[in-house]
Amino acid sequence: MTTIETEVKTSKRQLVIHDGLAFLALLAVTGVLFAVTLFLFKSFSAHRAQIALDSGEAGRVALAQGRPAEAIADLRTALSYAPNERSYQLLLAQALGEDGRGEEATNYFLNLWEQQPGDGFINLQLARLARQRNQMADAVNDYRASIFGSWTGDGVVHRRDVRLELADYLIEQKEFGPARTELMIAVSNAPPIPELSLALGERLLRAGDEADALKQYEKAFAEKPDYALAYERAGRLAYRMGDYGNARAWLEKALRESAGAPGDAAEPQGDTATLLKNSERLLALDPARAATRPDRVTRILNDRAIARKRLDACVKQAGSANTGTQAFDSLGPLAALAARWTAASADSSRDALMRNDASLDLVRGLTDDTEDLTAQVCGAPTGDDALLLLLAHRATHY
Amino acid sequence: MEAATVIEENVAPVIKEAGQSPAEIAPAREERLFLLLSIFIGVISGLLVVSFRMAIDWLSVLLLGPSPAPRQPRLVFVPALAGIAIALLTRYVFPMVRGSGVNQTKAALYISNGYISIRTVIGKFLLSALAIGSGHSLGPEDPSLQIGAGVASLISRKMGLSREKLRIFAPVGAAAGLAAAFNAPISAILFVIEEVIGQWSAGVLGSIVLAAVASVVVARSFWGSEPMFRIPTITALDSRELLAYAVLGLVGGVASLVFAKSLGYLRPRLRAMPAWSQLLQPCLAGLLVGGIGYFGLPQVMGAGYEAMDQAMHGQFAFKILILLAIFKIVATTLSFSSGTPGGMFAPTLFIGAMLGAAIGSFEKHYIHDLTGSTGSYALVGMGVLFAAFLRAPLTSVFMVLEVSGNYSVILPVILANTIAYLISRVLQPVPIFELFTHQDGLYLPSMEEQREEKADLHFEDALGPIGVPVFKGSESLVDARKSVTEAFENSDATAALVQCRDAAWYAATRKELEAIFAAMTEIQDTKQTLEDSLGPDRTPIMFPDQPLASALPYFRRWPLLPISNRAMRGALEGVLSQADVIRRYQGM
Repeated sequence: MTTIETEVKTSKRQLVIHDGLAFLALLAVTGVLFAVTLFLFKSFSAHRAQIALDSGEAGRVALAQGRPAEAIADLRTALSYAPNERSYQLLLAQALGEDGRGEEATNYFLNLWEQQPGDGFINLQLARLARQRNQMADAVNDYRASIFGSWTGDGVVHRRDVRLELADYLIEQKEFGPARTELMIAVSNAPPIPELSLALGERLLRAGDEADALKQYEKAFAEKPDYALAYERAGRLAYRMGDYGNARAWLEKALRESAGAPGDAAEPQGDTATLLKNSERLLALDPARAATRPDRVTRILNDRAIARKRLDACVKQAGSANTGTQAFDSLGPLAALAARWTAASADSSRDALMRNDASLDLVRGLTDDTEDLTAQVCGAPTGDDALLLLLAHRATHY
Repeated sequence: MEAATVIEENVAPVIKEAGQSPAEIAPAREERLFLLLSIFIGVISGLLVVSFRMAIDWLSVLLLGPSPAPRQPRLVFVPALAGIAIALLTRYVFPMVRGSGVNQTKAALYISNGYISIRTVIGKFLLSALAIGSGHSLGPEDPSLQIGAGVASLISRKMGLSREKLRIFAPVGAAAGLAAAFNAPISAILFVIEEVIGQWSAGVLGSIVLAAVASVVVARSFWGSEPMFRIPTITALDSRELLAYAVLGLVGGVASLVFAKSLGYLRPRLRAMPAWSQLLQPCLAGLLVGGIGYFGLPQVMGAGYEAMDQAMHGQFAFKILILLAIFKIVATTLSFSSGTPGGMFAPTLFIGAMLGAAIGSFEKHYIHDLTGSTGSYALVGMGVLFAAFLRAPLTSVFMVLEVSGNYSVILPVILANTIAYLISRVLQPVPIFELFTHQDGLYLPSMEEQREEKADLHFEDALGPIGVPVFKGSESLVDARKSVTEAFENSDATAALVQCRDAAWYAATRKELEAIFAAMTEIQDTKQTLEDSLGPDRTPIMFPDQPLASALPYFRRWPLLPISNRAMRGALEGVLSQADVIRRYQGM
């Protein structure tokens, strides 16, 4: 073996050692660098997470306290440190909407919607934003998507609330038919919760469905027998529907129950009490409520006397207040009515009324017409005249 | 690296004493080390890039606060003060850290044999982190690319590799750095090939891939699999939306043009100013960029990834998106032209994302039938600006595909990118990185030009008719002598073609043939054919579609080259002479 060959061999060996050591050194450097980076990264991540948490909480509080602009800034910060935190995303979108930044909020929610098109909350927020933009079709579609969407927590309650909100919106838009449909679906799925029944009744009433509304009120106080507000609402509605018997009973009950829990329902001295008095008086005045014919005749005669007084007072009032053409215009119908009174006097004795149904109808018609005409000529009546006018109108409508 | 230094100091002299270089002692050593070192380069680059991003985020929180918002005074004074520090450090401590890092890496590759100093790597890391963290409108990707290249340069130097390998390692490290910064290995590999090396080279591709994948694995072990921003849901494409994407391509092309023109105008003017004023330029740029943030658009400060994420998730209104795109162009032009170290990738992606989201948002609000997501537009917008401004069309397409992980955007990406790229090419013929090198007095190879040159001339472009005598190789020498003598009497040709067996050809000079005939004997001529007397060598079989330049080495041996038909064995399309090739290259 020559000297050169030996040197080359030695050099090769040294080169292998060199490379081996170099790789070991590289490995050591890589390991140290990795450990240092990992330590820094953990500290860095923890700090970021804390910033996200603090900012997110601040945003949540600001939104709850009605400071959406501050909430937006805080939530944006939170999201820049925890971009995938869904609760912050939803809160931010909500805050944007509440801050009047409709376009941004819509964009944000649309984007969230693209990720989760079946999310009930996102669809609800989109519906509200569409409402703000007066895009009824979009709003209704989004409400429906929200109702059929997925919800975290109690989905049944969320879906019902959204359905009621949709019904409110439809009522607001005068779409009473679809609103009633939504409400009836809600009614059919509603659990026995008196407050819910009452709320459903209120909405049905606003949607023009008095009969179903009354059923809900009845359901409400059936579920909670001391529910003064439900009695009061039912009493009012019954009064409005001409069912003065039930009106009196429920209003009485409302006042009685609310006396035990002041502030819970109608005030005894307020409107409810007046309605109760009116109900009682109407029951006394209404000939249709008479149990016997003599009683009926008595009521008709009593009503006739009240109407006659009203006519006389009205003629006098019209005669003194108007002159010339005006007087002629107002007194003319009154004179014609007075003539009818004179013509009917022969048939309006108690005996005649006891014998003849046609006479009963004639006198009752005259009473109704008198209250109606005097209300037009002399202004809205009060007291028994007002109640008679109410009875007159009900007779016309039913 | 201390251990490596010790080894370098102790072992290398012994090797040198043997009178031979390591490459000579162990020829296969470098090849063996190459792939293993690539993995180390990838891992270390990945770790450094993770640290670099952390440094940026830490500095941002420390200097600008966790939630930068308009009307915060520090938005103005922090970038300005950081600008002063950056200017002083750049001038007196780290003079090589100016610029983005892409051109510096190319310069290292083409001028200084892949050498990037450790000081440059440290300076790039620190000053870029300070610049971006303090709110200068620049990005971390290009510095990451240079940091990776620097790591590769350092490791390969310490391993005592040859000059050739040192040069190759720079792009390997660059790919690793960029891959970790982007969290997208394919895009990084393509960018380095498209913009730094300029060509596909089998020798280096394996190493680049290994390093890029290793660095991305490291980066993902820290940051997770998502890139710098969350990828939005990509909805199925409605073909009518292609029109909107075409508009995006148009708008992106124009925006990239404005951006490039602004940089091309301001940068040389600021660099031509007196030296003392250059110390103030980063400060002034910081003041102006901070002013933009102070008066309402803090999103334009820094790299802007959060804003990109928000744009992609539809969190900005149309007008804000347009304003952000415009002011990002302004802010980046100021920051970059002032010599503040930092990259152009993130601002480019930012502008693209804003423009894309603006078009997506517009479409969503005014054309209800179309349901394309804003995020898809923002994503395509990024690719559009990448293609048009950085002039890396292939990378731009793959970047969007890789980042989105969704193949359904391919059509819009190609359409929009092509439109933007063409607009940019027509109206701004010199790519931006090349423009910067020219402004710096360097003339690095233009990758765009190289790409086009590659598709240049082929044999068919210089092919001439067969104007020389053609002989049959199967003729006996006596017959052949007659044919040759007659042919050359009627022609001034100096060469001839001999058709041999197996569809092969032999291009012979006249002198060569005359020498054969002069040496022939009477016994020979009855038995020996012309073909036999030419020996075993045959002219290589070549076809018209081969690159013209590849013909040149053959003219040392052959007077002309017969060009064969690919369909008919042995049939010729024409012949090629050295004069024909040179004439073609001279454009005659």
